[in-house]
Amino acid sequence: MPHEFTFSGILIPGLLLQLLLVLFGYAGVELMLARIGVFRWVWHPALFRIGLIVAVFSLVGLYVRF
Amino acid sequence: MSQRLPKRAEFLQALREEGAQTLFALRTACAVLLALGLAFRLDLDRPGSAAVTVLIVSLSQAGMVLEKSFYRILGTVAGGTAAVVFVMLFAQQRLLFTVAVAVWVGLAVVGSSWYRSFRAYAFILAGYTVCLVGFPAVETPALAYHVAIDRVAVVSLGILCGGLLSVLVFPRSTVSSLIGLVRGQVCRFLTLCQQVLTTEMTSGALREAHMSFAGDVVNLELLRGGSHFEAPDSRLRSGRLRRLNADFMQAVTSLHSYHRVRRAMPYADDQSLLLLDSMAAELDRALRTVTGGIPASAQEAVPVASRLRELLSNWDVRVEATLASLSQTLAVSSNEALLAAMFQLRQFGDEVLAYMESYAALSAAQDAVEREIPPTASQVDPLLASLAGLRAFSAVLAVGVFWIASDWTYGFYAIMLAAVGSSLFAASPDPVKAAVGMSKGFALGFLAAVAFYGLVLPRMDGFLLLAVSMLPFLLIGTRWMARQETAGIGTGFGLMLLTGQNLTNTMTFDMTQLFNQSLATFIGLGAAILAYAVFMPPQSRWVQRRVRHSLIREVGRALSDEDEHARARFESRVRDRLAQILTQPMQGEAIRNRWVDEGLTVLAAGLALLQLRDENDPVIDAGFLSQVAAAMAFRADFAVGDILPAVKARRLQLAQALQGADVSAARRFSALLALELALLDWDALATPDLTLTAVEGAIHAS
Repeated sequence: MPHEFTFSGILIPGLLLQLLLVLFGYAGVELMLARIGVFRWVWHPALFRIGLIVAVFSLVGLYVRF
Repeated sequence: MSQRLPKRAEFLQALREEGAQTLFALRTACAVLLALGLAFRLDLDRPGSAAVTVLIVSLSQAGMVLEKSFYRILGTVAGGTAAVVFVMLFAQQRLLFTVAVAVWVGLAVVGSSWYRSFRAYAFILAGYTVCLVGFPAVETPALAYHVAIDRVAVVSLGILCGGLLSVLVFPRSTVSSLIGLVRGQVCRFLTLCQQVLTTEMTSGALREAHMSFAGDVVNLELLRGGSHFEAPDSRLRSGRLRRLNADFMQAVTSLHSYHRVRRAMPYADDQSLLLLDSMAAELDRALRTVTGGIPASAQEAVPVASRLRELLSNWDVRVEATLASLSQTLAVSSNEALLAAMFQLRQFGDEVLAYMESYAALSAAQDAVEREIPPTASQVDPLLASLAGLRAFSAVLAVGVFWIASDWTYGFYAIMLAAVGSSLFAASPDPVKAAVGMSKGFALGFLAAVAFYGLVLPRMDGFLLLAVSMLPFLLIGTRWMARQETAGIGTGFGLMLLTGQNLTNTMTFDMTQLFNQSLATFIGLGAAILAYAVFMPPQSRWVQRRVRHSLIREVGRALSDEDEHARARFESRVRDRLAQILTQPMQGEAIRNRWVDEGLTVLAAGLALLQLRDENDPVIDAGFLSQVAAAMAFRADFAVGDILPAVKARRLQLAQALQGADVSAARRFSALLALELALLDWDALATPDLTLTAVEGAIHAS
């Protein structure tokens, strides 16, 4: 993934696109987890969700190459 | 001794509330400082805007913060994009640019009136972000994209800080408020059922209950939206909650219809009254837990629902048997009235069963197969919405033209505030009051900003000292924000405090700028207030009449609705309009009560008409039904007396055809009687003398 790419002369950070991608993917994962009932066993759901987003975003940011 | 206990409980309650509010104030102030610090560190152009965003999205409940944040960022992105386009197209011509922006703001206000939730907020944001980005960039068009990106960045940073702190630090859960609301609603409704079914209840008390239920229905929808963002598993209950709300409305309405028929019964003889009341009492007993209490949770509602279902399954057989045995002994007229009342009771039983089943279904984590219900759409008057848009357009354009004509350096601050003010309060029931509340906050915030900027800030070096010295000032604002009554003042205070001093990494101190900027802010907000006060204020007689007439016209609209969900849709439309009426500032209790009575009568008449339409009786054809609807719609202010004899003649005709226990004929008769009773009430409301005496009665009684 290049650091930045241009869109009609405007510089856009590559990380931003990855973040958007992760957020969309995450929404699906979250609904699945809720259906399985994972959130009933989590002590602090908000903290859990934030942790999950950070983990997934880091993974995608570090290892996914386009 | 016994007197002291409640006082102690009250004191503890007050203490708990105070604690929650102080916690909110502290948390919000910390989030503001966090956003400010990060914005300084990231070297953003306007760190103050990140802090302002935190203030604006800070609501007491975590889910609401996330929902508002989500729509804020959507609106900001849309508005930023539009601003860049406008600057690209019209930067050479200030007048063209101003007109384009004013049109955009006006359209945003029109769009926002279609939503009652935070979705409206996305439209408002899209509207005024154009001003925030476009006007600073119009002098130097090359910077437009940079300004837009900076705006999106500070807003994202602000919602990130505000959202994180509100969900992580002692969050106040939307889900638990939602559960509390649903439980409270069930409890109050079942208490009301008990009062109606077992004892006599006054129409006034029933009206009060209806009004509080109208608020509940709206609040449930709001909390449901917020809980989606807070807890992912609440999404699984979303469909059931919507169904619960729809079933609740239907049950309340048919309870009211039963009350209406029961109230007309004193003319029947004692024997039939006793029979009816014993059946009502039986229904009431079935609505309770084994110990006789009200089900306190969804879990406890499961056995109640199953017992109710059992009672209703053999209800018809029993009714027919008792009627057959009674018909010899009773007079013909009271027999008919009894039949009608029994059918209303039966219908109420069915609907309260549906409500209890929906409530019981909430106890399961997963969805069972869902009964489909139509989506509840908020009812909008396109003309009133366009007028609100036109008002925002005029306010922005007027200030913009003044800016161009006078070549005022700080003019664009005034335009921004005119746009913010005329769109933010457009949906408020009393926009002038809301805007004046905010400008009071601005005035106080201005004083604080002057003190801080002139005396404190020059002595501070580095962010840590800035944060520590600003905290007490911030806390004043956030503490006000924590209380519902002073929230507007608090927000205004915080906004002025944070934007007034143009915080940047390398500070320049210029008191003249602070004064000029604040003056422009006041002028802009003043223009918005003026527009609200002059241009079709929501309190004006014309607007109120229009809202009322559109409610009455729903009857005719429902009759032409051939869909299977016609009833649910009619009900949700009328209730939405009624809730709109209730939020309007009224001239006195008596007028408000009259409007509510009118709405409830419209509801009852419309439902009876819908039922008659579905029965397809040869005596009551479609032409007659639309005649009744037209008579109601024709004149809200004239009596419908001329249609009443026709209704009565048909009822007598049906009564003659009533032989023995023909169930479907009895059902039609019951619906027709309900219609007649509703029209009688309508007549009483529309006859000025009668309402005058009712008002006088209310005055004497108080």
